[in-house]
Amino acid sequence: MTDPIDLQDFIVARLQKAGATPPNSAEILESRLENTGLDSLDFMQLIVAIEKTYGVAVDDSRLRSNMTVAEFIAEVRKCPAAPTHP
Amino acid sequence: MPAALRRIVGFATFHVLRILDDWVPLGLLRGVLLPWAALRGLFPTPSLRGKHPWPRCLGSDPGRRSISWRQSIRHHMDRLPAFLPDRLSEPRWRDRCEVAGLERLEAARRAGRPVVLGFCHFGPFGLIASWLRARGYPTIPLVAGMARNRPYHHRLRDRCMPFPEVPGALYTDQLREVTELGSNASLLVALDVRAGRTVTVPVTEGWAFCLATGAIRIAAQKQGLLLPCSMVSLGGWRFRLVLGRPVPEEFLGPVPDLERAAAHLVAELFPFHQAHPDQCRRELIGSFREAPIPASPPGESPRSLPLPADLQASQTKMATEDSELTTTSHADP
Repeated sequence: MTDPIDLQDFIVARLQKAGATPPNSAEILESRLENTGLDSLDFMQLIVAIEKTYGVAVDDSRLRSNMTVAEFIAEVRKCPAAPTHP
Repeated sequence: MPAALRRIVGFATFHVLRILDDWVPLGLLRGVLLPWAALRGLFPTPSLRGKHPWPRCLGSDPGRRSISWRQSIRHHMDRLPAFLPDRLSEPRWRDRCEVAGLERLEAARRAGRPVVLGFCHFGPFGLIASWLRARGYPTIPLVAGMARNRPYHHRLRDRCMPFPEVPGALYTDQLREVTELGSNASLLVALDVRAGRTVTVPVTEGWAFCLATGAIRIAAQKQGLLLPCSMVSLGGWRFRLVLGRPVPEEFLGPVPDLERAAAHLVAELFPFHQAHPDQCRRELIGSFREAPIPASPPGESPRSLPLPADLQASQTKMATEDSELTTTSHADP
């Protein structure tokens, strides 16, 4: 997978762009997903963007609304590469 | 009603209606079904009105008691064409729905652009997807809930819909499919629901509208076209489907301007609600908020959304045609 720092920056930037609270990057990482002010559509759009950018297959059933953004990033890092079709 | 009974009623309604439609002319079919609708109308239909206070920006309260039975009958009658999705393209049904703004969908299809249609719970909104499919534009409503709970009679309908390869609906547990949907089908998304992120925009003096931003965000993510969409019942199984002016592209950038996009949608849809307050449903009525009048600079009139001239014209046209159709509507019960 691509450099994990890039992934974190990517996710935090996307969340900030979507209007997540608190706007501070460090605080976002500690926020629970359900407390960011974003909804399931925001997170699904984020997941699809991650998959397109990093070529991974994210199993969204493993994501829980009470996990923090840092835990969410850790979960995404564990995701396998998406199968490529010939 | 228990699930098993609901299933039996759904199955019977679906097949009986389709058999009747095979054998009976439309005028007679209405006559046959009116007593059923009148009987159903005697029982409360909470989805019509709910318990929300009446938003005065829609004009005077059409009242609960005086017209609720008529409203109910029209509501039940207007739902019935949904059981005949494969027949709505036949001339006898096709002429019953006038569609305005279809050229916008056609242009998007030619350009290969995804389309999102934003609608409110107004009029026979449940027929929007069926009529659009009948006109050759596959449309998928986004429905709150779980796909596995799709009612049985809806599954029956799905089987005979035009474009059977396109799902009859997508549910909120299928957001991945929603996000990945391309330009092969339009997505129909409600604007007057209290789900997810919302934005409140002024409608008229002292009144605001709380609009769900899902449609705007989906359109922005897909770089698609976002069209306001209204379905009006004109009575006597006659309908008008209007696809309004698209939300300007500058509001749908990578960071969408939710407020301005919402204001555009509300400005396009509100004239229909004002013209036909009796067709506003529970969800729509509950989305209006009494709001303090926004401060306006000295010498200017208080802030309110400008209503587009072409919609004002269409509103006048609709009002005229409604009065022409009053005879039919009165004849309903």
